[in-house]
Amino acid sequence: MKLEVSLDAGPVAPGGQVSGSVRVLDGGEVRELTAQLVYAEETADYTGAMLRVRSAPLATGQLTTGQAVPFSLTLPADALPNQTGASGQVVWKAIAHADIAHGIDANAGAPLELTLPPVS
Amino acid sequence: MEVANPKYPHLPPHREPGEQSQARRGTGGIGAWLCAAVGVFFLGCGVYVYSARNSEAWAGKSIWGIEVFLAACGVVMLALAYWIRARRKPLIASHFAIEVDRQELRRGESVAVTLAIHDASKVTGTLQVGLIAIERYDQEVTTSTRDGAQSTQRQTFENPIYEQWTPADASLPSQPFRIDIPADKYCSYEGECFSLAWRIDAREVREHRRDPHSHVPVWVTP
Repeated sequence: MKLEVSLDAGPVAPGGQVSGSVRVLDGGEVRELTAQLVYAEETADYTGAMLRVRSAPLATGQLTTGQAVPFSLTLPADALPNQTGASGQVVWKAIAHADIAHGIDANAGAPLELTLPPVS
Repeated sequence: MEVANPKYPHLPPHREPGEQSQARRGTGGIGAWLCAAVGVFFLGCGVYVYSARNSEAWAGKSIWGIEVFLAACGVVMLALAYWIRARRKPLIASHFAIEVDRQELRRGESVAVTLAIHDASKVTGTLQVGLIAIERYDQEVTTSTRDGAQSTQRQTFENPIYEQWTPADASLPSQPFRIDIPADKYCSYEGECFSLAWRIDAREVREHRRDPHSHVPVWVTP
């Protein structure tokens, strides 16, 4: 299964709505499809996340190729900006996750732009 | 008054640590423990040899050289363990200290800082007051043994990513400063593998010696 995340609007303010859709590039059967906003940490060797805003299941069962599943999530009112250091970064992403019963789960993500200017 | 979380000195009191801080993946910790263990082993051997010096097996033999060698190795290894641990910690100044009017700040705000010099006669270097942002990041470190075996460890490193220093007058017992938190720089963050921390720091820059510091952590929000 292959997914792609696209976001509707431009920069989002803390506390604002993030809406978009998960496009199914290669269909299949899923236990559930969810979307989440993640404040994602990345260093050269590790990834992590302390803040996640999860959606309710967007879809279950068969997803067909070409199908677009809309989602809408609220960015926390106290959201921090996207921040890049010299050896790592922590940035907001919208991530779609397909839980597949007998196979490898599928993920796709898109970077989220905030009205708070990014820091580096 | 408490100015830092007692367990996590990079955080103000009442600020909770993230997973990275709680994991305390130090750098050099294993080396220090290994050196200490080897030092204790050498000293133990020295004590054993000393206690056995009158036994039949060694009767009539001079073994003081062995005792001295083992004791010296033990002391050197313990000193090395102490040095490894000490170099990871900042040297805390006893003759000066800083105070801030608050520790929770928004970007763009300023904080009133007071540098108090308790004993000016001990100031031998140049005093500075500054604002520092530190990034803490996890990295894989691979070590190899002589026989080619490799082991990988997760360690946390830190790195200043913003610093701004102002000279201070060592002759004044108390000196006020106003430090601006940049409006376009980092916010404090405690994460799993990447964190950002701010502190107000006073340091005495000395040549060929470690610089004593006094610092107060601050928490910066958007």
